[in-house]
Amino acid sequence: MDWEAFETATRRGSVSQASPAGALGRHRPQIAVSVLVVIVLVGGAFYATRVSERAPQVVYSASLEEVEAQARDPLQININTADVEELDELPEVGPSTAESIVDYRRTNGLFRSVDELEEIPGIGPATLEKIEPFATV
Amino acid sequence: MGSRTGPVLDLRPPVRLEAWAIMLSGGVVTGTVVPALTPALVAASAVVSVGALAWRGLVPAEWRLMAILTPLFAAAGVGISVLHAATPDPLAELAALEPGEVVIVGTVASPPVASSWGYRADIRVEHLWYGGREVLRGGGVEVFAADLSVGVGDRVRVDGEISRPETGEDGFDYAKYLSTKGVSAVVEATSVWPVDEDVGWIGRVHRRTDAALGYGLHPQEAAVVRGMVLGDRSLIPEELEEAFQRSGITHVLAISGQHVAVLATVIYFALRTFAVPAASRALVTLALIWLYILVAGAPPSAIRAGVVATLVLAAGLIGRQVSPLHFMTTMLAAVLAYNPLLVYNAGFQLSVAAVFGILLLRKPLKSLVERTLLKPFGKPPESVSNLLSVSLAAQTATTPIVAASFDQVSVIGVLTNLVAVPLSGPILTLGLLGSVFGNILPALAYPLNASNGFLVALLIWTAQAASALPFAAVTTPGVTPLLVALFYVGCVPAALSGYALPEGQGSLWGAVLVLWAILWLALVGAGGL
Repeated sequence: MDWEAFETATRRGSVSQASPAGALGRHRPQIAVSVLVVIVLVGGAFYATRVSERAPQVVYSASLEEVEAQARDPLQININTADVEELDELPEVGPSTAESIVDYRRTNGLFRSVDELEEIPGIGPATLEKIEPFATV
Repeated sequence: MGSRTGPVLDLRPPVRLEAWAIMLSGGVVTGTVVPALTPALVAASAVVSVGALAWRGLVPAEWRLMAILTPLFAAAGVGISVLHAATPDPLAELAALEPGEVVIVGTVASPPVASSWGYRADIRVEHLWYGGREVLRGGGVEVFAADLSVGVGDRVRVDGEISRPETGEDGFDYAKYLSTKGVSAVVEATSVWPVDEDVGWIGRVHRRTDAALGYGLHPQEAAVVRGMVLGDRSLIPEELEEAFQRSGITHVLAISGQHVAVLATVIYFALRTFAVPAASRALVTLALIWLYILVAGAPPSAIRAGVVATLVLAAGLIGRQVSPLHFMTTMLAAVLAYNPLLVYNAGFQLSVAAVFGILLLRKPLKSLVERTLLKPFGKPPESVSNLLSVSLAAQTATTPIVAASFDQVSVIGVLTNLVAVPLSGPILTLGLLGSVFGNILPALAYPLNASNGFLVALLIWTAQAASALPFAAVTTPGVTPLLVALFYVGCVPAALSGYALPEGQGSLWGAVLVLWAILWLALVGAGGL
C-alpha cells in the first residue's frame, strides 16, 4: 500500500490539518454557515422581542395622575362624527354596517339620538342594546 | 507522487454538527434560568475551544470543528436570552399598577375553557385603551368572563379590569406560566363583544369540527376525539381527564409530536398513492402540517414537532442525510431563540424530554427488554421490543417533570401506553377524516365516526380501568428542580452507553437506569429526598 499517496489523496490543498489554522481553514464553508446561523437566530430573537406584534408597544404615555383623571369618561364613539373605521369598533358593527351608518348620516343628517341607529339595516333592538353603552351623539 | 487530475479523493471524517445547537440552547437556557452561571458557561466553552485547537486528540475528530466554535454558539445563546430578558413589557407594567377598567380590541388566540370563574381565553391585543385614550398595542392577555361565546380567530372588544396574574395558594407561579404563552396580564371582563360581523376562520373550523364529530359519536367519545384532533380538551369531563392522567396516557389528548408525525405520514403516503412528485409531496405535506398546527392553537409541543417535520422533509428535498439528534437539537435552538421562556412550560418540557428519551435511552432499554421480559418468548417481532422500549424510554425521561408538575406519576403508564399509543394513531386519522367528511357530506362521516367510536371507547375503558387500580399512580409532592436534575444525572450513563461506553453493555446500563428511576420515584414518593 502506498501510504504516502493515500495520505496525500485525503488532503485538500496544502494547509496542514495538524495546525490550528489548517483545522479552521479547511472548514471555511462550515464556519461561514455557523456564523450565518447565529446571525439568523439572534436576528430572529431581536425581531420577536422588539418588532413583532407579540411584543407590546407603548403608543401613548402619560403620568398616572393624568391618566386617572381622564379615566372617568368611558370610551364612547360619537356616531355623528366617527368615520367608518371608528364605527367598525362598535359591538356587532362590521364594515358594511358602518358604511350604512355613514350613508344614513349623509342622507338624513345628523343622528338626534343613539336609538335612531335602529333605522339602519342590520341593527335591531338586540344589537342596539349592545351598542348603546359605547355610542353617543 | 506526481500531479493528479480529476476530483480529489476526500476521506476526511464527517463533521458532527449537533454541538452548535446544544451549545446555543445551553446558552439560552442558562441565561434564562440561572443568569449568574453564564460567564462560567462561556469561559468553559472557551477552554474547550482552545484545548480542541491546541490538542487534536482532546475531542473526537468529527466533533473537533464544533468544539472549536463552542464559544461563538454559547455566547450567541446567552446574547439571545439577554435580548429577551431586557425587553420591556409595558403591558405587564400597566397591569401591575392595577389601574382598573381598560378596553381591549384583539383576536382570540385560544379556545375558551371553563375556569374557576366562568370561562377564560387568551387574546392577542391589537389596541388597548385606558381612560379613553389608546395607550398600548401588541402583547397578550388572558380574559376571564362569565360568558365567552367566541372562537379562535374572532376579533373581539373586551371591557374589564386589568391586573397581573397571582401566584396560587399551592405556590404555582401563574404569571410565569402565562409568560411562556406571551401573555402578560389577566383581564376580568365585564363584557366581551365580537367586533366584526365575520367570525375567525379557525373558530369556524372548530365549530364545524364539533358538528362533524357529532355525527354518530357519543358526546364523551366526541369530546376525546375533539381533544385529540384540535387539542381542545374543554369538553372532556374532569373525572375522565383525571383518569387519563392517573393512567399515564394524558399525552394522547394533547397535540404532540405523535399527532404531527401521524398526520405527516398519512398526508405524505396519500399523496404518494396519487403519484404526486416528491418535491410537491413534501411541500404540500409541510403546508398542511403547519395549517393543522395553526388550527390546533399552535401549542409548544406541536410547534416543536412541526419544526422537526419541516427539517426532516426539507432534508429530503435538498438531498441531506437525516440525523434525528441534530434535528432535535436544531429544533430546540430555533424554538428557544424565539421564546426562551418555554423552558418553564411543562408541555414543552415533556415533549422535549420524551423525544430525547426515545433518542438516547431507547437502545439500552431495548437491549434490557430483549434480555429479560421478552426472553421467554424466544425471538418476538422487532415491533414488540421497539414499542416496549420506546414507551419505557419516554416514560422514564418524562418521570421527573411529571412528578414536579402534577405531583403524581403514573406507574401503570408503562403498560397502558402499550394500548393507548397504537390506538391513538388510528383514532386521530379517523377523527381527521370524520371532521373533513362531516363537513362535506355528513352521511360519509357516520361510518368513520362509528369505527372511531369503538376505538375511543376502548381507549376510555383502558384509562378508567387502569386508573382504578390502587397502585396506578404514586404521589410525588415537593419535587424541586434539584431533584429533577439529580434524576437526569442518573440517566447519563445509559444515554452515553451507545456512544462513549464499551459496546455490549447496553442492557446493563438499561437495568441501572430502570433501577435508578424506581429508586428515585420510591424515595420521592416516600418523602425521603
